[in-house]
Amino acid sequence: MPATKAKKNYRLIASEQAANVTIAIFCVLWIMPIAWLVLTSVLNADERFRIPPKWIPSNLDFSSYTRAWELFPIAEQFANSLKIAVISTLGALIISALAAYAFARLQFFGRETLFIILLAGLMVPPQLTVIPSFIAFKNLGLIDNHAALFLPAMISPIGIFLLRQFFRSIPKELDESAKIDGAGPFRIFFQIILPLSKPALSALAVVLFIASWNDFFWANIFISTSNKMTLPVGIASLVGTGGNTNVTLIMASVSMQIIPLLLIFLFTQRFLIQSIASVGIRG
Amino acid sequence: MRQKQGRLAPFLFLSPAILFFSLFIVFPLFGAFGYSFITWDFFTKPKFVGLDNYEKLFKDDVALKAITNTFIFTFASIVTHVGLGLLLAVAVNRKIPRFFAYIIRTTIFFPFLLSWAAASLIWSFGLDPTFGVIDYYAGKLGFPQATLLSSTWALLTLIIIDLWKTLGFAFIVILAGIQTIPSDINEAARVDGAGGWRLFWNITFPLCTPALFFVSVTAFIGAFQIFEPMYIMTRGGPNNSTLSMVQYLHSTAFRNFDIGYGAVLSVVIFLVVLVVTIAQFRLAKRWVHEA
Repeated sequence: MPATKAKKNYRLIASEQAANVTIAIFCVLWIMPIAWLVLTSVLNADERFRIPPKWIPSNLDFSSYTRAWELFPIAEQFANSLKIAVISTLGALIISALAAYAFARLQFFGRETLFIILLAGLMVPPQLTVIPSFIAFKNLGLIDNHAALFLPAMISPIGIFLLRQFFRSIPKELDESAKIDGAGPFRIFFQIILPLSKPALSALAVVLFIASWNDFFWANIFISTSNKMTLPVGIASLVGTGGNTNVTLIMASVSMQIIPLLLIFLFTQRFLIQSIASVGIRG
Repeated sequence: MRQKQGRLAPFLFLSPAILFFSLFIVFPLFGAFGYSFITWDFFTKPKFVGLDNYEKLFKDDVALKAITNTFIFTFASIVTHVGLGLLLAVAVNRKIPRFFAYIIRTTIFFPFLLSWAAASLIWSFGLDPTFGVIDYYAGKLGFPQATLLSSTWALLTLIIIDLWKTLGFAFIVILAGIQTIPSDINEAARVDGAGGWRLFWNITFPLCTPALFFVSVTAFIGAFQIFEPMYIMTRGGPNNSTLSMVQYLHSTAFRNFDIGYGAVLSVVIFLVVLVVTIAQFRLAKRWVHEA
């Protein structure tokens, strides 16, 4: 009997160790490419691009950051990204919340059919809508204009769906009593439903913001002038301009996008991960 | 008066959504089908050609290559995300000090937050044959310089990069799925003498199938529309070995200005995503717990 128990313990320890090793391997592999890029961007010219790589620098050199900042329109592109992400997110939140309220609380003819039609919009990928949209925006003279990025982002079938689910979970007694006090649908929406829906609205906002901030496919097609570009399109457009000096400048610009994001992530990890997992769209 | 306001309200609440839905989803949806029957290059007069563009698709070897690549990439993406996401979630689902749990979540999930543009640049520098750290360590594993982006290996390399970028999402979703399994079920099984593999196959795996299903659906949709790493890192090459469907659509419509044929490719992508997603939901009843 003690022999089998010892055997069991031994097997348990072995499987624990196997799990630890698995996790360690994943973590090292996952962090390595980012760590190397950030590190290379701050090495001085002698130690940069050493093979094998120099993992512990003898001194740091931030000159490629200042040069990248002077040479590339990073500040403008950051402002563009921020403006487009904020407008897209707010627009989509407002439009989705209004529609979701109608589906969750109001009675009207064809409610379920209309809801299913809007939800089917989930299955229409941007790759299908891009050509007709490009032609339409071109005819309107809106190519190379930020409106071509934030207007289409304002309709979010998943947003309408999630908010409708959330609004339905709010007890109806709350609006009934407001109704008795003479409140109409607009007052109920603004004063009861919206304030109670902050968790759902903020989770949706996080996902919409990240989707807009990271979008490449659409922004790359509609924007062509460098100081109108968003950050992802901006850095991608620097590739292939040649030379090792340029490589370090591009690495510095990429790090300038990674580091603030990492800092934000370190402090808001739980909230960000929960938001993304609850909304569940791949960015 | 009150009654009238009540009837108008649904319309007021819904009109912005209906307007934007019509303008940016319904109208372009029909537009894409419409453009697939014409030939046009933005400059000359559009011409109606019926099904010619669709006929062209069946004779186009490059399209065949792009479709094959995309299916291989997508299949590998689903298998690796579900398999390794599950492996990692099971490995993490133990009593682990909070600090380590935090480090693991941060490390594995962080690439998911990066833009594909930043991720592609990181890897394209890392794979550079003269100074790239990944190319160097791959050399230690027996891959001669610059082989990872050669026509034999490039697609596999991109599959691994996609895994690096999005495994964090699969991992978090599956881990959440495992953690919702009530602990008394696990304990009851333990009391009955189940442990290790039996516990995994009889309890953990069947009860986290909803999470695995969700990951396989999102992995499919994401992978089938893959574009950025090919566009930024390999330009579809060498010899079209990494050309994806969306990238082919992009170059057809926005580089060669062949609008009609580009529209055909976009319709094909749409229909494949639609049919496969519906099939996934249908098949779910056979393997997903309480589907």
